[in-house]
Amino acid sequence: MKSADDKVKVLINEAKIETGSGVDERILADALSKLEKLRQKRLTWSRQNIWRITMKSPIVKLAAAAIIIVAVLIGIYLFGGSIGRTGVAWADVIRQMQQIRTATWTEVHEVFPPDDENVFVDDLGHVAQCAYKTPGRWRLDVTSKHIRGENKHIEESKKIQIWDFNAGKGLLLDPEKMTASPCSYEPELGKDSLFRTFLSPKADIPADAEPLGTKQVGGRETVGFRIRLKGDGTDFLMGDVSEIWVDAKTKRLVLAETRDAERRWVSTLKDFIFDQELDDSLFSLELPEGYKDIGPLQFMWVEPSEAK
Amino acid sequence: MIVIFTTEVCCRGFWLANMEDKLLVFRCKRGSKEALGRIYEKYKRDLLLLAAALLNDTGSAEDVVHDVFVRFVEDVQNFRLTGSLKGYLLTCAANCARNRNRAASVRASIEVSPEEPAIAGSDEPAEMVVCNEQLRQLSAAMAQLPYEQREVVMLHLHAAMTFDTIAESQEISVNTAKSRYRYGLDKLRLILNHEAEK
Repeated sequence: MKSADDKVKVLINEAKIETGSGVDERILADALSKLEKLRQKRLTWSRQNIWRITMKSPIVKLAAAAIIIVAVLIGIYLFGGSIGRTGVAWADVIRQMQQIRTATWTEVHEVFPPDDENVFVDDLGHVAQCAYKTPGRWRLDVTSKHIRGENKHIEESKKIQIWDFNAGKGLLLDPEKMTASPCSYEPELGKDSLFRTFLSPKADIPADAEPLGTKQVGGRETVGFRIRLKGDGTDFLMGDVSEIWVDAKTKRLVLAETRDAERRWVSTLKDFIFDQELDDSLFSLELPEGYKDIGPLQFMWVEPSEAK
Repeated sequence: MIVIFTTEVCCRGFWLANMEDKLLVFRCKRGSKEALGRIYEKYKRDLLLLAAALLNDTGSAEDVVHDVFVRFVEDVQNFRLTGSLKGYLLTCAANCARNRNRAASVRASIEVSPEEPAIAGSDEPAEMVVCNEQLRQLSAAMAQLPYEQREVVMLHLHAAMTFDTIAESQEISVNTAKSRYRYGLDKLRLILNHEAEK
């Protein structure tokens, strides 16, 4: 029986089927047409509903907070985007940022609940100490506030995320519970990879940078640029605005603020320090001493129908 | 890059590897054609291969995949991915193929002589579904099995589904699923050995 099993397995494994573009179009045409109708329907949703979805969705948080970091620090470099069409000043910024080996900064993510008692928002924002080291290593020490329980008390929680995009691995630590969750995923930097999917709306950002002039930030002369996010063809991220302030001399990032189009939150990146020595241990994916491995975690998000 | 892990947004029991599919489904729910295209690109070969092997006909296999994606979009708003998207789509394809097989006209077209497999292409490359020799051989051999046996063999070996899952999706007992698999493999062994001796 086993030989038959193996023989069939081999045959199945070696069986291949390919489609021409005409076939793909034929197969998908009706599905795409139905999806377009769905999209049109979605656009008519009430603002309140969209607000609920957005604030409950960690994907939006991820994308919003990631936007400046990825676009400015590594976005063009990794995704092979062109800076040829943009203004010289902005291109200089990108070139400078591509030289960066390490960076640390603080992110403050503020949430502005709507003046509507019918809309409950449990996310009160977060502060994160962030570190980046080439190639593709990130560490985020996040302190977030949420409303919890029937009595709606405010709860603060701390989490640490360590990512190695090149290795396709991550480690999520809960310092309070002393638990660790290793993660692994397919290599994410290739075309159509997960993070490409996440960040595709940002690939075109630099070409649209609008000069904002100059201003003093922390005693430094800075030059500003405004970026309006294009979204991905849906209302996802569409219209969100980022303002980036770079040192007038070094062209390196000093301050960045991203606001969503509905002014429900603002994410501020500040206190940047570049190219200081960062110990590799900061980005270690080894289980830290005293931590208990509780197995992998998976991202989940609240679907529209579940938004409360 | 910040990802907030809270009790609402994280849960155990799933692997991060499924995250991309969850994201794609999420984006489909929001009307992203890109996301639908990505799902199609990821899984079209698996779906077409399953359907082609079950129905021994590339035209019907195309129709099956077409129907799977149309229904997926129709139900996407209520769709909640709790396991593997690939497994879900393959189950849908198997169900769809089974329904087609039950239709008398399709049944007639799939029960062809193994010497004359119905898997064929057209002359225009862009319009073609191209199968390699192994798939032709597989489909021809499968066509000689009762449909129920083909389905269990393909779902177990191609879709890597457990007998429990197959039994549940076909509304049969686990023992029946195992028996169909065993009988199917026995017959396939005879067919393939016979082919090898030719």
